[in-house]
Amino acid sequence: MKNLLCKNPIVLMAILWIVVPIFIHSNYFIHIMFMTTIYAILASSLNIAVGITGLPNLSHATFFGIGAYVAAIGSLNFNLPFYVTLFIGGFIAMVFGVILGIPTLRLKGFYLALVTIGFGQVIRIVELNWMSVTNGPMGLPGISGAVIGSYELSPKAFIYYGFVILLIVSIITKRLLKSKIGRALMAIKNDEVVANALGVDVTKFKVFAFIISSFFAGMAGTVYAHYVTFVSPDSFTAADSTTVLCMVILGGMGTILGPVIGAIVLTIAPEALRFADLYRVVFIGMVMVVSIIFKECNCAEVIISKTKNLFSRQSNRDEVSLHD
Amino acid sequence: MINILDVSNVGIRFGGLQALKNVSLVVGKDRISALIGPNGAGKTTLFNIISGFLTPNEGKIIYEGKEIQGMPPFKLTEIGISRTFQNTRLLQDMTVLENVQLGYHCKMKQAFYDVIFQTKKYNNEEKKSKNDALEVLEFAGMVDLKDEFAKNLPYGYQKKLEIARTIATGARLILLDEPCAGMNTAEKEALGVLIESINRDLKKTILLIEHDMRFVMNLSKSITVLNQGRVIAEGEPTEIQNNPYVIEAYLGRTKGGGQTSA
Repeated sequence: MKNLLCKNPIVLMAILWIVVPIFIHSNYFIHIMFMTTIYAILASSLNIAVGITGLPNLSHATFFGIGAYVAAIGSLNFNLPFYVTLFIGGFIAMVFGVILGIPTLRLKGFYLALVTIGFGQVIRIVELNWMSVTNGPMGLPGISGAVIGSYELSPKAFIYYGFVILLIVSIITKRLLKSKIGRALMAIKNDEVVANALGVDVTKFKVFAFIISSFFAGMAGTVYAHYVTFVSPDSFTAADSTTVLCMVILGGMGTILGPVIGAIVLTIAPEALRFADLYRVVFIGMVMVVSIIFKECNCAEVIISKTKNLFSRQSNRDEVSLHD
Repeated sequence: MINILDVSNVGIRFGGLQALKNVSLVVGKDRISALIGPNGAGKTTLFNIISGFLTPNEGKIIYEGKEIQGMPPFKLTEIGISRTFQNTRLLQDMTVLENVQLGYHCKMKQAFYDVIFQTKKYNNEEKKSKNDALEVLEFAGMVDLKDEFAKNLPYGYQKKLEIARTIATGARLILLDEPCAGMNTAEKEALGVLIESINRDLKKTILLIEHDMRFVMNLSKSITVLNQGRVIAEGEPTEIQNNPYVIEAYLGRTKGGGQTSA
């Protein structure tokens, strides 16, 4: 059992997400937990593009926003239930992922990052100005909640709903890492030329990473839209994209648990530090700088290796690979 | 003798620089051939063309009866050409085993669906590629290092791993770009034995670039000499050693010229 916990980050995550909501009752904490779940999905899905494949994407919140707007429009104009918008939102975000992906994936590093920032801005401006569809800066209020028959999902149930998606992303990531596809993606991050020389169709796999990544961001967007019942362009800014990227970097790129830990820390920390007012931004900035300086020992690996030491009797000095 | 690779009249220009001109070369099946020449002669450029990283401006390359010039590198790997790089390029953050397993990429048919649902196909393929990769590592004598990250390997093993990876791709033609650069005599000898055994036991054709003349002369059956983008000599090691053009290219003119290039 203990061994299972250490070896399987997903089990650890599942226990946390199943147990914690039982003990929280205040709406405030439920909201924080829900936002943590959403950010964890975003960070985990971004991790597939950034952490595993090495494609710097600074417009992840944009895909999230596209999903949310699709849910809003689908729900308001076409009366679609949440489980239908979930897939349509994911799909349309994915289509945008392909649109962004195919022409830009010949770019590398900074250039790709710049294009994704630009893409985020373009979509935001469309959201702000396409009055007839998005209602501009006023946003779209009155999205239906998640209703199945006569039962409406409570905010707490939304946490579990989001968690199911998080679970799926994590399991997919885990299984990908141990497959031909995962090795190809990791190879692309390490050295594109070598990947190409070993028979990896680099463009195809890059687009694939973008597709998976944006699909789940879109899904998270629909969950969010049905939860808050209101979307506006302010919810999906470049700052949000950066926050998600910070979560991936802080937690540990390319790991399964890392982005989730990053999401937990960077969602809860600003709330916990509310008393410090503006200084909390400085504090979080410092945390980021320190984590980048020590990027060799990312959060996830440190925590896993520490807990492993706690659980196993003989001290284990091996480096722990989260790929297993 | 059957030729596995037939390069004819290949030329490439980079802007105003004619890097290769009228280069023709044949590589005999199941042989070890070598490509030598002073620095800047265009050897690596020719490798890049054969392995698909560059498209020649003119000329034809025929591999196993098929024209391949202009095909992308990953397609060429699929049909059986694999290479190593001059400055060793490993997938640093992946383990030795993963590096070799990646070599089986083309042969694995698992789709996204198979991976997500861990179908029988996925399980079989993963098991097979892992066993095969371990066999290749055993052959290269580095099976003990399978779980080490590639970046932690000593230099000699990095070079070996790169070669092991080319074997894993199932290539019938292996291009080695300066396999023993930076090695000492003992390491070179060991590598020579490994390359010979790849050629003899695994029936792979090998084309290699190397500056160490003793290494080249001992190992290869035929040698092509490039100088300033042209082929200046071709033949067996003994012929090459006595060829006046080759001596001139390497050591400079004996009379009057005074130009030397190493």
